[in-house]
Amino acid sequence: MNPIYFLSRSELSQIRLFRASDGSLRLEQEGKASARVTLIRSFPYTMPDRFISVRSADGHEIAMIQDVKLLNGNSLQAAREELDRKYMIPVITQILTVRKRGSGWHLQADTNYGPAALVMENLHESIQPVAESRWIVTDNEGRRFELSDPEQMDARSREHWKKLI
Amino acid sequence: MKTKNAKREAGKPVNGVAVEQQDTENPWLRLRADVDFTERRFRHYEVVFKSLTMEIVDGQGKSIMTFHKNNMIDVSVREALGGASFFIITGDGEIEAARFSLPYIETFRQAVPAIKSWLSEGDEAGGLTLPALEESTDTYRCSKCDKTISPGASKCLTCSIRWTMLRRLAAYCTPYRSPMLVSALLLVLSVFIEVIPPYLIKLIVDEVAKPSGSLKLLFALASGLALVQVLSAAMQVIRSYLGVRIGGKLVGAIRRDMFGALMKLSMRFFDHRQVSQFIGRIQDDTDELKEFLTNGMVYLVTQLLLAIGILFMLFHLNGQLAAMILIPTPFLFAGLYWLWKRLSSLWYSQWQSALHVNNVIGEALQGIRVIKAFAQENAEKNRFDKVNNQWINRTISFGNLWLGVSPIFTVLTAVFGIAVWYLGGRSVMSGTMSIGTLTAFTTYLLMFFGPVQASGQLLSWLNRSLGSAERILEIIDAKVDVPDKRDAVELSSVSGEIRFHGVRYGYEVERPVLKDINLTIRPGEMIGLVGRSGAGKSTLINMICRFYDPNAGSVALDGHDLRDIRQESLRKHIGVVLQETFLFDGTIAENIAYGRPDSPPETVIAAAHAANAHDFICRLPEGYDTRVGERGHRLSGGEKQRIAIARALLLDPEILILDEATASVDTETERLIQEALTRLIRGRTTIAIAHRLSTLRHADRLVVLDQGRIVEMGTHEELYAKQTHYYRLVESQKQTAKIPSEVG
Repeated sequence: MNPIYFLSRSELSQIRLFRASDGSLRLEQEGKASARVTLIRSFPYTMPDRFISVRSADGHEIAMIQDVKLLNGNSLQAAREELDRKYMIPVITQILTVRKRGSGWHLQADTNYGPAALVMENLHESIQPVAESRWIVTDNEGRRFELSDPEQMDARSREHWKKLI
Repeated sequence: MKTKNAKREAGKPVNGVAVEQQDTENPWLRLRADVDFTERRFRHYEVVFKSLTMEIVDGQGKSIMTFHKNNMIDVSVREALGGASFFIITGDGEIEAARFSLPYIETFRQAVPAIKSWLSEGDEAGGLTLPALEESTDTYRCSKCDKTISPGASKCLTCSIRWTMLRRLAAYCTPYRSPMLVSALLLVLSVFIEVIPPYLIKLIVDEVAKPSGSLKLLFALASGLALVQVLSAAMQVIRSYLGVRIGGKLVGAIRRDMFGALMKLSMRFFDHRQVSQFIGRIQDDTDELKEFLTNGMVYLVTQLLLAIGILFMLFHLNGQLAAMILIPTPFLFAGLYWLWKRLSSLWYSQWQSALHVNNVIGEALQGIRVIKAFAQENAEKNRFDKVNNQWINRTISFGNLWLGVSPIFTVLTAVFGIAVWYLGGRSVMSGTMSIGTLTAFTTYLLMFFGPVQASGQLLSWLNRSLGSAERILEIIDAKVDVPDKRDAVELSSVSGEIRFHGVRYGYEVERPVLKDINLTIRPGEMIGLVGRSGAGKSTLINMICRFYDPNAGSVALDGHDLRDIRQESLRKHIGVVLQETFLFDGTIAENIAYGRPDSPPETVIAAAHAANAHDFICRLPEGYDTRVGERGHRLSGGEKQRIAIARALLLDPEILILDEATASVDTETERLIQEALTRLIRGRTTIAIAHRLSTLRHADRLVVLDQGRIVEMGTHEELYAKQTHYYRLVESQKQTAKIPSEVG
């Protein structure tokens, strides 16, 4: 088994993550370059920005980024873009309306991807907790939305949220 | 790529694929996408393919980006969590052309082969034949009104409104029409009777107050009163008797349908849910509903009829006074409507808390060994306390709401009662009304406000029942992922040829576990499935049993697509021996004969004998009559395994599936099992998965899977000599197991 490379703070500021001219993501580390790397979140819900596994084209782990925030500016940008592509879970920021029509629940919400309308057959299966104060809302089409820390939302959203869980 | 806000326009394909005639102007393929990746926003746009170009077109139909076919080498769909991206590969590298969320993935995937063949066609236009692409969303239609619905539901939301639900519940009552009719008649009669006593009392009071009162008349009136009471009590008894009988049968029928629905549902339904919740749901929800259908409904109708009857009497006695009591009625209705909304959401959240409690209990009991082994009893208790407290709190707030509202109702009605006393008293004093009438009036008024006050309680009752009904119908109506077609065929005998054609399947849409599987298994052939864990071996087996349907491609048995075969008939021809054998509560003989309960004992013994199980069964004091299962005798892993083999042998299936059948036993037992298996396999199409590769050495062909694809196929010798995938697996096992003599 390969050992895990946790990159230290100083090493993290040294590595370079960037999009090569062919559009693929590259990692440069101590002069060594790896092409076509992919990034994987170890804790996509609880620690989305921490413990990012960098994998080579054939799937082997090259490095473990303890915290993307410790990367230098351009690398951070490249990492964020790649992670955005790989993890398409919009985060619900506000709940605008909650309506029950028949047995279905209709939700109008604002997300970091823009406004979204969710229709759910029921709540007890569609809303599942994934961590302390963090939920995944799955709508009838199978799309997933994240809702974390309801206290951050405005009063109306919190009121709606209380009805939902 | 930037697009303006786009609204869905009529006539445009909605997440569907439109394949049109090829033309220099007209696109031959349009694919919808919904994520603008430069801004990371939801936005609708289309990827449009014309004869020589691929264009990204925004919602207004404006072209934003154009790629010439000559510059494109290849295309691919790359899955992400919750969606995917569409990439084009050019000579300079790869470019992300579109990004989309889950509902759009399948359409893009299906389009990729067509796009690839378009790319390989060269520049000349025309002559391009495209496979018809399946439209993904339009196939979802409501079973009732034929409106399009979201995938995963069997009925549209308009079809599941409350009244429809009530009607469906009422359908359960049809078999009991005549006793229910009797019940209803009695109900009307008893309401009528109940209205009589106050009027008799009025007559008595007036008679007594009269100086010339007749004793005879008084006696007759008093006897009448007594008779009415006796009659009313008798009717009450008959009604209750009918209610209990009908209710019991009704709830039985609903429970039966609910269990039937659970049995009908596919594996996928259970994969995504905590299973123990259904025990509680079948019991509690049906009970709640029974309460309503038997008592609640009767109560509701009685009170309604009574209110109408009383109102009639009140107007008959004194119209002016009676009109007064209608004043608070609109307020009451408004109040009840307000209450209804709150009760309904409170009730659902209370139900949810109960579900959480059930789930925690179920999980803890299923994992009790692990909990004890890790000394986590306290942690589990805390987890339970948390959900339990939530339940308590919600029950309290449900109660609080009612507590807060009911005094208002009481005071409101009391005030009107007092007003009637005052105004009526004045009329009596002025001689326009008799004392008897006033007495009767106030009695009726009390009776009238009784149901009005009870309506709050009734409301909560109604709410709970409707909530439960909704939950029940949710299970009964749950969509079956692998339904039997109406014209599905029954296979009486099969030869056992299994053919996978371009099969792709993923438990989650964005993460395929099997990719492009093409495999033909000949009748009577033994196939060993080999690969690292997670390579898709078990999934492949699940496809043969049709526990799931492929996302793309097909699996066929003897040339029949599995989707065209009745599932019951399909599984009759498949015998399964799994790593973990589940024994049902019953005797060993019953467990062996599980697939064919009417087998004679000779066959059971012969099967056990062939499975090398006969000897250990005979050593048990109770032999074949030994009770096993949850409450019975504990058998060892190897013993259970041999019972499973006997079970499969007795079924005499043409196709046999062995999933890690010898994984958890010692060497001697393994030898016994192996021996039994060799007998079992003879003459059957067999697909076996084994962790220990040595057990598959005699397979006719080994199929090596890696990351959902078939990477190698051949006999042990061939593959070992090739020194690639299979060789590496064998070698790594040699190193860890240190049994080189067994392999290679």
